Amino acid sequence: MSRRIVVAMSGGVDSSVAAALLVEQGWEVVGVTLQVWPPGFHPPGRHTGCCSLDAVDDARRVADRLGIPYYVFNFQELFAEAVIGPFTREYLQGRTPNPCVWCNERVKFGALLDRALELGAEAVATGHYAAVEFCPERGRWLLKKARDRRKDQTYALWPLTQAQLARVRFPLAGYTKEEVRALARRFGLPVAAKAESQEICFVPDDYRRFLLQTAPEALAPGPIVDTGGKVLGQHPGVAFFTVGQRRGLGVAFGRPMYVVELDAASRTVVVGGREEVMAQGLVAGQANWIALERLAAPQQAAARIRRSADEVGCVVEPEAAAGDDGSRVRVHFDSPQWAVTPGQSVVFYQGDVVLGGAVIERAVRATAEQGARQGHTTSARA
Amino acid sequence: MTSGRAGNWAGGLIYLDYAASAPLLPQAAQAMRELLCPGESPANPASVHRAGRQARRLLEAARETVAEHLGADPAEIVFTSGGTEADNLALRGAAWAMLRQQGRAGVVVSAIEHHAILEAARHLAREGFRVELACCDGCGVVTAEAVEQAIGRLAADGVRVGVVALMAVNNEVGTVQPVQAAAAVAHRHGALFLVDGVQAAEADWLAVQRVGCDLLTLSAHKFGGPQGVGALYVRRGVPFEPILFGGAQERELRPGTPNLVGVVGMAEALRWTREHRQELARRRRELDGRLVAGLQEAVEGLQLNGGGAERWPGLVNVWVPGVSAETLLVELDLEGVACSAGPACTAGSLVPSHVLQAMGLERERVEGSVRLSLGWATTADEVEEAVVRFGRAVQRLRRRRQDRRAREAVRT
Repeated sequence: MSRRIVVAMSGGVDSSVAAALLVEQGWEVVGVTLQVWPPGFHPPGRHTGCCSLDAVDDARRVADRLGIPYYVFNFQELFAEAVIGPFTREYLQGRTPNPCVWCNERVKFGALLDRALELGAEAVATGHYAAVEFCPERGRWLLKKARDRRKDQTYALWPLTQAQLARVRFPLAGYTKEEVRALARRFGLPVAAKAESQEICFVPDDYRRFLLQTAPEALAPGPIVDTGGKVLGQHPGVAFFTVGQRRGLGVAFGRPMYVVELDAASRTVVVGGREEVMAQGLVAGQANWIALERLAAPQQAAARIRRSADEVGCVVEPEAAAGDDGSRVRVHFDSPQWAVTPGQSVVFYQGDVVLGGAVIERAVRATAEQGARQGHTTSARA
Repeated sequence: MTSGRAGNWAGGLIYLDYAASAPLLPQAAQAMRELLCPGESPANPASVHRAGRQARRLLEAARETVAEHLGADPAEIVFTSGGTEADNLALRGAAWAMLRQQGRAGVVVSAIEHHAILEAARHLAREGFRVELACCDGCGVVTAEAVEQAIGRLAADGVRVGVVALMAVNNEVGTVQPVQAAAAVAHRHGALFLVDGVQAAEADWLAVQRVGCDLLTLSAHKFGGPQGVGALYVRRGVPFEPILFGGAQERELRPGTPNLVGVVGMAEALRWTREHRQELARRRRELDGRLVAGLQEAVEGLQLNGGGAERWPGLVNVWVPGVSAETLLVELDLEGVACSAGPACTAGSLVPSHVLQAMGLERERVEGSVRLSLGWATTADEVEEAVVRFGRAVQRLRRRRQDRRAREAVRT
């Protein structure tokens, strides 16, 4: 009997080709789409994008073409608890979340992986652009960048544990997007010409509207202040802002002003000039180490502080403050970085290899400046 | 690639999902095949010419067969596009007519009805009707008292009941409902009584006089007819109106050219079913006994849902402790047993069964129950093999779950 593998199929080109490649490699492939939207939660009229009805139709067609069994699993409750709930809560607390990270950790490589193992599968495969391999020297599973660097998705995969990585397959690791499209045509997949979807799967174009629908308490007006504490205006709620944002402040300042910081407790949006949004480092928590067992000493690494950011050289070291459980790190950038944003992931690389990652708690700026703003500096994790 | 065929599949799939759709009876297939001749398929039964008259003859002959089966007059039978349309037409047609003619704005439906009734009732509520649910007991039975209480809740607010709907046999747990007693209650309050008979077409007691119903619905593909065709009985003279508008077909109750091929197939399936009723019932009872006993033997801790009530033989809903129904269905499918669990959402994933919930079952049980249903083509060999595969599948799932727990225990 051939080895069974479960493929998470979104109906897009990538996961479809991933499934086709596994069929070609002789696996007994079981296609699965996750139904994650509770009834009534889905933005009305939107049927495209990840996990939508159209996606299910597409995935079903691909599975038929490949001649593999295909199922839709109902993960609505888990998704609400593990992704939608925290997504809203983070914004309400003035942070900017990465929901894809939680979805990968808890849903795709959490509950779905459990389900797959229960069905006798060896692993879960997805159409992520990333690579997994076992490193005998380190005795650890490594997460590495995909060959197609522009498409690399390791940024959203950093929380995976060794046990998860041992059961994960990324068939697209060695292909570029162009090659994947060519493969889709070669396999005769009905989705070969489908457009790319880059949106967060549950916020079509504007997360603010989603927040208004799902969490009316996001409307919590408060002051806009400068870094010296001077009140410059009013805002509708910290949840509608993100660090580095310029538009939508509703105030003319006479010079370009950006969000420097959000303090949900005092409902304050702190703004400043371009240079005030720059940070020399950051503190992050909930760290997960992949290439290392733990962070014992400072490491040279390249850090990515949001999905679209370039990597920056840094030193990452354990944050030794009293009461820390060892999962908190401090990062010193080689050069100041724009808009270090609490709630976003920071992922550490050495070359191709993902060292690990963590969730940004706060930016670290020049000491003098920090002292001046003490009143607004959030101690993030209340 | 496999074709989407119910019945005896090539590839060794044992089909135990008759309650979802039964395989087509050969007699029905033959009757339809005779009408599906390239270049000379049936004319429009409403046409004046000879070909139209011939089509009309076929349509009326089918109507007579259905009427005879239900103990009704042919003029009381309306053909529809299936059970869902029949249910919608019955409930909405009666509710609106009772409101307009008698000022009755109350509707009572049981909590364990098919969604075709429940959602139609919800829609009536949005249109201003007062809708009350008649609750079921822990065995999955809606008693006449529950119907009486629901009517009482309407009356307490000064609303008179116009329609009461209760299904003959529940499609998820197979419990037989006391429709005669409920009919008496409905009539005592001056309401029309609607029976969704979709799951009980084979029953000899499903005669309209015997049940005492004013409206009754059937769906062809549940008893070996084709999909996409159904029938509605409307007692002569009761307040009723159409929900679709168009031509004057079906005594102006259901406009549109009827699906003659489907109607003929349905009638033929019904005729065959009626002729073989006793044998079918005996086999269903026998196979049901084997299936239930076999499953109980093969699967430790397995429990029958709705077991405390009179149950329609051949429709078996079981709780398998320690597994999720969603996983079990997949494992069974991969193993070669086709069955189901509760209704599916649009995308095709499972949603928790409203019937099991209405029975007050705990969540774990609702999410760990599956339905097996058999019918005219099921053999004893199939049942035995299905039991073996079912036992194997459950064992595997439980073992893998244990392995995982053990691994997790080691890790922590």
